Amino acid sequence: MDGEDGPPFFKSWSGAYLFVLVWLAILMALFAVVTRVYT
Amino acid sequence: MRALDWAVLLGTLAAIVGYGVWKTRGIKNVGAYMRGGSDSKWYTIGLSIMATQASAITFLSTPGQGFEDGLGFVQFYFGVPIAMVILSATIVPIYYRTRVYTAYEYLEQRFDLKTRQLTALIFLLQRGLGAGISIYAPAIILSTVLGWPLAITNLTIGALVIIYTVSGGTRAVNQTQQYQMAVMLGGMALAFVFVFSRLPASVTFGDAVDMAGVLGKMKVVDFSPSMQTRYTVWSGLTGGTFVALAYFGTDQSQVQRYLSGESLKESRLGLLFNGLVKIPMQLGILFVGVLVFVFFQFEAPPVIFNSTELTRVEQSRAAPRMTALQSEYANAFSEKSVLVNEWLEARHADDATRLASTETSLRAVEAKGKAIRARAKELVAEVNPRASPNDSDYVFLSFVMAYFPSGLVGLLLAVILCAAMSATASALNALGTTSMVDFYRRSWKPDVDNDSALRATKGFTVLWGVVAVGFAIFASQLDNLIQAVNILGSIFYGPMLGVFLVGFFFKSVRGTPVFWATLLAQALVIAVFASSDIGFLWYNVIGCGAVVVLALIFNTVMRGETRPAIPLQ
Repeated sequence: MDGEDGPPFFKSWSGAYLFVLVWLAILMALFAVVTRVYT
Repeated sequence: MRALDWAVLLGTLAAIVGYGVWKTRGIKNVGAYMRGGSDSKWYTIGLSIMATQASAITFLSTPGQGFEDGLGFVQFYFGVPIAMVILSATIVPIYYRTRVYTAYEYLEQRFDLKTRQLTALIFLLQRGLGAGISIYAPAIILSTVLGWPLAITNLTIGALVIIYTVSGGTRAVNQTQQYQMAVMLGGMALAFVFVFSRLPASVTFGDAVDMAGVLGKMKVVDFSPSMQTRYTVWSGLTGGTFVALAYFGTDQSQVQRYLSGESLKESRLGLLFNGLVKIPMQLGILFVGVLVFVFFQFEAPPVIFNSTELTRVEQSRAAPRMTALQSEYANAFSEKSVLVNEWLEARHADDATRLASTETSLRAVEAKGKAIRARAKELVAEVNPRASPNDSDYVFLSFVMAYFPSGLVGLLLAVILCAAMSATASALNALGTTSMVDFYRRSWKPDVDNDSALRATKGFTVLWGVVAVGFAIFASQLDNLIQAVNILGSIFYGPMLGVFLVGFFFKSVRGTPVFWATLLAQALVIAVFASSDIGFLWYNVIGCGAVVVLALIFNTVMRGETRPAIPLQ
């Protein structure tokens, strides 16, 4: 089992996890802007 | 439907089912049948996870929700990326280390047999019903819109799924889901382009979005703290995370997808891929519904989209009342048409004062139209109390049938049937595996040989397929389809997640306390569901929290031996 293998593009799994959470934060911020602009 | 549509529809379905059967023919090992040979790459896992969650309801109800309520439903998915990260970091490594076939196997290693079989039983009940709904929900809509006999539609979807799921097991499910997902995403992308192209030439994309915003469809996030509002940022981030943790972490139909991974790394990447793509995909599907809404600002919509129910009312004694409502609705539309054109002119001329006054009038006439539609829905329910209460489920398919060109209609129907098949296939695959691993091989025939086990697993899969089709055929009318499935999930998922969380994080808690805590928490959630109007996403938090608290209390008052915990890392 190569369970300890790191993810591509990131030094560690923590980096990959952070990327996903930052992506969520960006989407939510964009949605907040869209909601504010269009309502 | 024209010949070209039939050719596209039947060709797509036959190709996918045929490929699934051919590619996975000759599987002789029951382990490979249940775990798919443990050679799936991250993209297969990711697409398979997405296809499992994306049932036909996703492509029928979601655009309808966009049409009716705008983009706010996307908040339900805010918990998905968070859950993907938590699962990748905690539960998935444990499943890999303990070499389990089902999620519930882990619970016996951690607690005891009765806890394992209680959760496996909850899964079988919930997913068995869910599989029925995933067949029934599209079948009722397809039958209504296309005039196909309902029982035949149910049987056709069920039979197609059973053929390749039974034949090739997990690998067949994963392989076909890749192509089903491609058909679904391609079909919806084409639908998006086509709906937009049907808008008048003078309407730009910016106009369409702005108009949707004026009429209240662009409210993506809602920060209100109300527990009664179904979709808010808070319910999405908390309840949505709990739903996603429970669904992706403890529902065997999902666990089986990523346990087929070549390695822990591939499984983690597949889950994270889902975390990145899920929200934009759902937003895109909702936005197709919003564009359909904009389209109906220029083209008169029917007051009721469910044509079968509309005809029923028109042939009843209530017909004059419906005619009156239709005429009122047509007048409101004419009034709105004038305002829409004025609004467009003001917008193109950058006339802020005129724009503001037109917007106020537009909102008022929109509210009037909505009220007329609500009265028409009440009339439908009065004439046929068993009629589907949510007309929005019929919006997208009715639109496709009325306005899409030949060929594209067949493709969109293929999208819906692919989605129905992909969700049902994962469910049957998991139901068969859980019946085999957690009950048959564990308690009835522990020394079963490979060939008999393979035959029995296939038999269980067929049996669950028959149960699902039977449930679909006899299913009574349910509230909004997508919400019915989510509510059903939320009733069971909270306690289920609670058991796993206690297993992972509370090392001193033993099997018997957690067993009784689960039963009580389940009763509590059902009581809350029956007696309060709390938004259903909160059931997950309540159920999960109740298991953790009750298990800790029972653990201090009940005596027994503690099993060594399985470490997280």
